[in-house]
Amino acid sequence: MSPGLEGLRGRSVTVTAGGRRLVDGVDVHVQPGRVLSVVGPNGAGKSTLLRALSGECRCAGGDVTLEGRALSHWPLCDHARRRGVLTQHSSLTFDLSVEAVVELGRMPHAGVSDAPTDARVVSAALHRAGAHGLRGRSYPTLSGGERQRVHLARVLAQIWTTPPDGGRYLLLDEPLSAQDLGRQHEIMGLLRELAREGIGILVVGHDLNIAARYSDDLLVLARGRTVASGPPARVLTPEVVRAAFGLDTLVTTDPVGGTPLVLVTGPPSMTTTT
Amino acid sequence: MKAVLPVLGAALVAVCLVSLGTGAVPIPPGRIVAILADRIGLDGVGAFEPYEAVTLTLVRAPRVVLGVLVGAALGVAGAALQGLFRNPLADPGLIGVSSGAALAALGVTLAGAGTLVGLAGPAALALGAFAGGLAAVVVVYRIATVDGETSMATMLLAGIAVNAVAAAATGLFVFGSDDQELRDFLFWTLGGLGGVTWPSIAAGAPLLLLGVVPAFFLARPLNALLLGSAEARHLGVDVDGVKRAVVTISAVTVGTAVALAGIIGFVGLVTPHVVRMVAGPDHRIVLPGAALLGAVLLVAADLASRTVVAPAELPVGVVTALVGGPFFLWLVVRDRRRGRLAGASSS
Repeated sequence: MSPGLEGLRGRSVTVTAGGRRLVDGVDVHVQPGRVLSVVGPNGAGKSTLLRALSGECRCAGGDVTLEGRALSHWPLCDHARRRGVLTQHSSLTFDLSVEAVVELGRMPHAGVSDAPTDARVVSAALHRAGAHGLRGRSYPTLSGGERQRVHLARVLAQIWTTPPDGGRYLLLDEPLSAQDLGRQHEIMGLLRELAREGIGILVVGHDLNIAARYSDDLLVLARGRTVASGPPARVLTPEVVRAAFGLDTLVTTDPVGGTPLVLVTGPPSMTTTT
Repeated sequence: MKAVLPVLGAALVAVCLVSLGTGAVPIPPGRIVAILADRIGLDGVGAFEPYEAVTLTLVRAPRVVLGVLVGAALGVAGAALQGLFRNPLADPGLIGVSSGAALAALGVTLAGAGTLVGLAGPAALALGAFAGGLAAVVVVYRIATVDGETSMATMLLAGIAVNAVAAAATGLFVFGSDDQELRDFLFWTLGGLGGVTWPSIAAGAPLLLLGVVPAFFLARPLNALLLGSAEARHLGVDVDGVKRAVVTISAVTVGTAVALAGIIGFVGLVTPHVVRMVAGPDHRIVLPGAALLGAVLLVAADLASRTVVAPAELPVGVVTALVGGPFFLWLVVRDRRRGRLAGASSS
């Protein structure tokens, strides 16, 4: 872990589209070595926030900096060697092999890395993403969950090595959406492991209890605004959950990990959803 | 599947030798080599008759060279456009490049480019066609791009509109033209390698190479674009730069190809498909593969166009469309049964 690094930071990030504020003045800090989970109801602005942090969409207000430097000031490849982005949907329909897809993650290293290194990294990244068994398969023949793991391997290959002058960051948009229960914990466990290696991680998710168990920090969004942020034990209260989701809950302690455990008690009230 | 490139290279050499040797004056391959060696100053490689040398160097060789250049240009432009739009149906003809270039070339001809001396005539024609192709593609691209996202469907619709307008304008030209101009018009719309001379090749070749060579450097960015524009951007690809480069390359290559040989359909559409079917969608193979296969196809089509109804000639565009159309239908039907287009799912 590198304590001197500033991390990936968004200050009062605001993103508008069609006159609506999708994200409205949100502060977010992805720090090296920590896992930050972003949770909230549908349409809360989670994915939009991630897109603003990745540089994919422009902020109407606020700013996003990586290691203290505005995203737009980073050379594209240099930026790409430091942070990987796992998007929710990939439009890949061409008949590429699994290895070829993961190898695309090595693109920003062209000229810096060599073919044997790339091949080694591709294989190791497939291993870590739990996708080693998919080697040799054709991408379009994979299931949704398998595709997700191949793309996870691709972004791991992208940020496989630490740059000499900074940290590495991963932004993942619902990486568990197509995974079975075992794989969900496997992937969250991998993210914890990656954080231990110094990577700063932001993960958008839906399961509050999984987020609580594996994250250092939570950011709860609703209607584009921050409802609460901080360590799970402090953030996950019945008040916060009601404010964000309109659900009555009982928050107890997870007997396994000692983290907060959210149990829904009442029926949803439709007043807070838009 | 890198073997596909040497195979295509060998096929190109073979089809060139056959085309150089076939015609009213047959020339065996050994003599072709002897004549070519003689031209570059190597004596004693073999014997040949002077009339064979004249036929080869002044009649057949320019056609073959033009066929190789134009075929390669069309193949590369098709492959790059299909990669950019992540759609195997993209084709320079569908998005207005060819008709814009043909209209401009016709306009330049009517304005009297034929009266220019030396290289000026062919050069004016090539530049005019390039400008016409570029203008058409810029219009289409602008219409289809909103907030940096280019919609393939809008692009095709805009292409249809631009094609219709270009066809109408061409029709207006034709309406008021004489016999010679009508012949020119037929040439532009049906394509042909006949009557080409070394000076016009000298004028067009640099522009064609200017388009084809940079395309090979786009292979990796185009591979990343297969994932989608957002993913490519996350991988450090300057997506807008790649878009502009591909659009410019297709305008340069197709515009020049149209100026030299008229509109030749289906080479740009079909060749990247075939290479992808055999070797997969990696652009490091697809781009050079489509160039080689485009060259092979066009030289072969030209050979057919001047031998099938000899001594008359079929327009080469007729040959490529006659062969390419049914072949493409077969591809579509076959892949429809398998549930996907070559290299891409049916989405």
